[in-house]
Amino acid sequence: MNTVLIQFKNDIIDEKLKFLLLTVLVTLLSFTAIIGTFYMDEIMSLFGIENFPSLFEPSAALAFQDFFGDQVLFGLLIMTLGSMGVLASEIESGAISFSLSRPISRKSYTASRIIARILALTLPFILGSIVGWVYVNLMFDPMPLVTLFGAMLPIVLLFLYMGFLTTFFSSQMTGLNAGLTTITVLILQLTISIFQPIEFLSPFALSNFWAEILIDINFKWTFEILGKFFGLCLWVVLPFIATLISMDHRDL
Amino acid sequence: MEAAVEIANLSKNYGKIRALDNISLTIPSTSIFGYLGPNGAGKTTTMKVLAGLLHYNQGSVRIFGEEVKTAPASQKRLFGFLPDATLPRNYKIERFLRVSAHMHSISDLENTIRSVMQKVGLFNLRLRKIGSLSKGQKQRVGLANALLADPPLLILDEPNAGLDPLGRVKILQILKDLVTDGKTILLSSHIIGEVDKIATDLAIIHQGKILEQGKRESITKEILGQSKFIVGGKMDISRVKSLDYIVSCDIDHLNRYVIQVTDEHLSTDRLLLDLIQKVEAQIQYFSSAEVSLEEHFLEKIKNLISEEDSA
Ligand SMILES: Nc1ncnc2c1ncn2[C@@H]1O[C@H](COP(=O)(O)OP(=O)(O)OP(=O)(O)O)[C@@H](O)[C@H]1O
Ligand SMILES: [Mg+2]
Repeated sequence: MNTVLIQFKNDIIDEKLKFLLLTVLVTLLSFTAIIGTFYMDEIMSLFGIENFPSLFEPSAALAFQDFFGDQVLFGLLIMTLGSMGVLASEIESGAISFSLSRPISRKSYTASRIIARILALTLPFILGSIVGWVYVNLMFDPMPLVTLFGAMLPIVLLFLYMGFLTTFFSSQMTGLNAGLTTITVLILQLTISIFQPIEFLSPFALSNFWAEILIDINFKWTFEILGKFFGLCLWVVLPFIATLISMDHRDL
Repeated sequence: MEAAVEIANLSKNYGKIRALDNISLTIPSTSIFGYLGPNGAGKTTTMKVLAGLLHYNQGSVRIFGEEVKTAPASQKRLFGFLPDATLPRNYKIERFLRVSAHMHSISDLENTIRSVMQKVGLFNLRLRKIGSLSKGQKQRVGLANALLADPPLLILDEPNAGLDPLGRVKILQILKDLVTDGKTILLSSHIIGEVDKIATDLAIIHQGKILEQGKRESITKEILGQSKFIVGGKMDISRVKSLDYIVSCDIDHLNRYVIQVTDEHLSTDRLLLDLIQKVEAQIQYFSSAEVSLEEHFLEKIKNLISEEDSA
């Protein structure tokens, strides 16, 4: 745990500019989503669409749905790009010989290194969402913080899944990394969707309960949602364990 | 006394390449162990196995009695490792050492870091990024990192690489002091002259096999009893060799005759006289020289290569 913190601090210090930029970017995205939702009617009339059938009243939930929808795509991209070289570049340059000559096991080092990086990449998203949440509360009816975190959870898990998958490939080879990750995700997704009955088992399908959480004010943890949550956790843990095992058996 | 490192029948393949072929090595405690061999001999491979970075195919590798393969991470407290690798570029020297010190749970962090930086002459550069340092400066950072936790064993892969002459002398002095403090040092080099000066024990590795190992004196004994002369001019080599005290007579790359004799105390006059009278040599110049470990080493490898070629 201590080593995770050291690595985390290093990651953020090393990349403080990128970290800041990412946070600002996510915050801006949340603002555009919120403002866009709030002034939906005005924006529509700008484009000449009057009396837009207001299926949904502009609300905090709608604003966050918009924002999180963007975040899933943007975040997954950032996770893949950001965690790409975390182990592979160290292995390639040999710098890992220095890291591993410290009294730490390979498994702990690998785990702390990638967890730290993925946390550092996830943090801007969480910070941006919280800033957005404060703003939403000013513009709309207040939204409980619990709802925000509840909805954030599956998205963060989806990020972790993507990050761990990337680091798994990045422990094998440096180039090709993002490509391999994307292809794997696509193939997985395709394979699962071919078998209609298990389509709901794909990480993306499992993670969609964030929308339900946002919409339903009186949200409760049902068995279905708990099941999805644990299914998602499994998707996260699998590539993580695979990375640890493959790193343990490598020559460095 | 227990050996610091005990390697028995170790073999290591990289795919089809056999990097270590059934090597056995014993590194006695409080020795400076010079590990010598040409490029690609297997020095780095051996050290990486010791540091737990490589999985080995067969054999046993023990550091202070504990098998590396099954040892817990705490075994790494017993040695400092200077790998032949690139340091992470975007750390400042001080921060790099601080992270290391944290992981070693060193208690007196600031003082330890300062003293180790002063020891290797980095203190004035401590706020520089590693990526901006010269090769020799980086090497010092690596060395400081290995020395940081004050471990009983140091495994140093070419510690002198990239250092200027003054830096080399300084490092050698640091290593000597460490051994006086009871530490054991394993250091590799392909430049024998460097190791020769301070090593107490030597091993020579070539193509993954140990050619020779032992106390420095016993390895150098056979060459200490010899002396060497360099002669310019013209003479018949076979007639030179017929003199009864001659070990060898070759022509070097400058077309000089290199004559090695058995007797350390053979006088120059005697050889000169014999060359003129018995060999009827025409001599332009004549000088005596020492036989160095370097030559002994090269000779050994040269013999091995010619054996392989003729086989
Ligand atoms: N990662 C690797 N993959 C394949 N072969 C390797 C690898 N690393 C080393 N080798 C091979 O193993 C042999 C021993 O290499 P090693 O690096 O141990 O030599 P060395 O004695 O340290 O040489 P140098 O003086 O050049 O540093 C060489 O033939 C080398 O080509
Ligand atoms: Mg080497």
